[in-house]
Amino acid sequence: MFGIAPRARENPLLSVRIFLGVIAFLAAACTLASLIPQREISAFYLHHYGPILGRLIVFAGLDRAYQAWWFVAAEAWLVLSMGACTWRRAMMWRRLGGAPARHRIAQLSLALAHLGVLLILATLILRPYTHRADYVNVAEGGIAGLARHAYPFDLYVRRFTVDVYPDGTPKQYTTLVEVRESGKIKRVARIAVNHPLRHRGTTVYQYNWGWLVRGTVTRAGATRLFEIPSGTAVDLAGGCSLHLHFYPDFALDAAGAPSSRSPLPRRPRVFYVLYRDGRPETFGLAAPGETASLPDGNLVVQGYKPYTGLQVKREPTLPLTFLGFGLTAAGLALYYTLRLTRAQNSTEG
Amino acid sequence: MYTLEQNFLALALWAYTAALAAALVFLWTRGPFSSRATLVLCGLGAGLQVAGLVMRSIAGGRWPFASLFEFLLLFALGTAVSTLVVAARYRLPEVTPFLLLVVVGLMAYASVIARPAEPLVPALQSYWLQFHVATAILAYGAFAAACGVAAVRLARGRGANEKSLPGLDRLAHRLIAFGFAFLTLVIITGAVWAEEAWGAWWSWDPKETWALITWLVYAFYLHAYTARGWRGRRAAWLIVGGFAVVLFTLLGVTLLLPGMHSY
Repeated sequence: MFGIAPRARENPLLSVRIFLGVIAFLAAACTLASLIPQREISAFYLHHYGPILGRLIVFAGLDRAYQAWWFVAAEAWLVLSMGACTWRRAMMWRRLGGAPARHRIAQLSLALAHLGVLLILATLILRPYTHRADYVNVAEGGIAGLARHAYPFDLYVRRFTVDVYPDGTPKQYTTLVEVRESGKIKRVARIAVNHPLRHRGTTVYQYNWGWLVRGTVTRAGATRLFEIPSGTAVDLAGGCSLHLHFYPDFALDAAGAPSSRSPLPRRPRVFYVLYRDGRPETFGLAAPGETASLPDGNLVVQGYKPYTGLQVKREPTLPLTFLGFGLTAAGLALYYTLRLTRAQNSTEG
Repeated sequence: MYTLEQNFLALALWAYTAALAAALVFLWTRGPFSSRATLVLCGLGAGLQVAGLVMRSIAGGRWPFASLFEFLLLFALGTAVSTLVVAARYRLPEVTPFLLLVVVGLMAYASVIARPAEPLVPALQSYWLQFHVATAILAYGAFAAACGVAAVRLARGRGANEKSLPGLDRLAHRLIAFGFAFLTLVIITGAVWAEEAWGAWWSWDPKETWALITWLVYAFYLHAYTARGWRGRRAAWLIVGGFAVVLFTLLGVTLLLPGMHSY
């Protein structure tokens, strides 16, 4: 009585056998996709899996399985199938007009749960086409430049802080921003992990953070000013590039490799490597204000400052997804409360 | 405080191991004494484990929900409690060796990776942590119990006890249905929390994907049971396979496929 609607020979969307086949297929596809690295270049698969298996993986779309046409088609089938099943349950609920209330509520609860899963799945399929995310790195005193990305407001970063526990591990990353529209401050808000900013249909998340290193590099008599994120490189003439990595609390780890004991600038150092034609030529460590010698010149690290990495996102289908969550949870709660009540009544009866 | 916690958890492991030994004796003798001793020792282990977790909560200043070590302890506790429920309430003492093997295995592995309670990293500072982990414990505990019942079903097979087999099928189905509801809530609470913390309610992270695979396996079972009449050994093997997927989701993904869920 509380189970799935009877098999409908005429309508394949209501076939439980096909439904079981599709979810078994999706489970197998998800298993493979989780074991095969996704979204790599073709050469990666040829190198790691050999010429035959590598080509097969790319040909079958297993390198981008979750977006492959056969995966999306299976998801779409489930959406249609659950829609048909939900419709059938709703019709059964109407036909059960004279039946005991618990039978009708049971049908309604399962219909709600299936409708909820349908909405979640449908919005998951649509997400790549409706969802939009941009990533901006902004130093203190800087503007995010969201207007360039066609957002209706912009953000001015007043302050970025890293709170730490007594042992130096990060406690929270917080960005204090001014939300500006047409040059006017609409409000001041705090963005932190698990505490995004929501404004005019857009959500801004504390996504990342890092350090900007500022300095000059002099070669062949010419001095060049730079301000780059730690972990990137300054391109130089003659096939050279200078890679810089900033360590706010520099120390050597157990293996003798450079590391940082904490995220706070207690012992700031810049580790630099000069590459020529792709090969390391020289490397060293420089403190702010120090001049480090290079083969044809020198490097001066003038300073550093933190930047905050923000993710700016719009997802119009998100309310539908959350509605799906709510319907699924409500349907399950109703169904199991009913079963519990029925079990208690049969025990007492 | 850390030493007290360690002591209680070590004693809990010993109690579970003794319970497992008593359960194996019961399998051999089928006597009431060994059956009762199993449940008493299992209950003692659960009590000691709760005490250890309370010590850890006091030492850490938070609920013990934040690391693989803590989750293993909670999963073991959930399985121990489900062992007591299934064995005592449903009068199925044969399930105890299978389930206590799981409990002892989880506790033994947890003892290898034990570490002191650390403060929460920024991503875990959310009230969703409690809901997400608590629903996972309930779901996994129910799936473990269902696996134990399925194991008994397979062990009994065809023969003199055929009358009891439909009852085992029904019990396993009820446990799976209970676990499935909470697994659905695990995925929902996880998705809502991921949206708050990472800006993406679903990103095909390995842990998310394998939670979905687990959900699909049990959805398959429930629909096959209800609409296609799957019973007996076929259904029992599916339940055992489902629990293998649960264990891979918990341990295999953490060790072999790290992603954003690595804490």
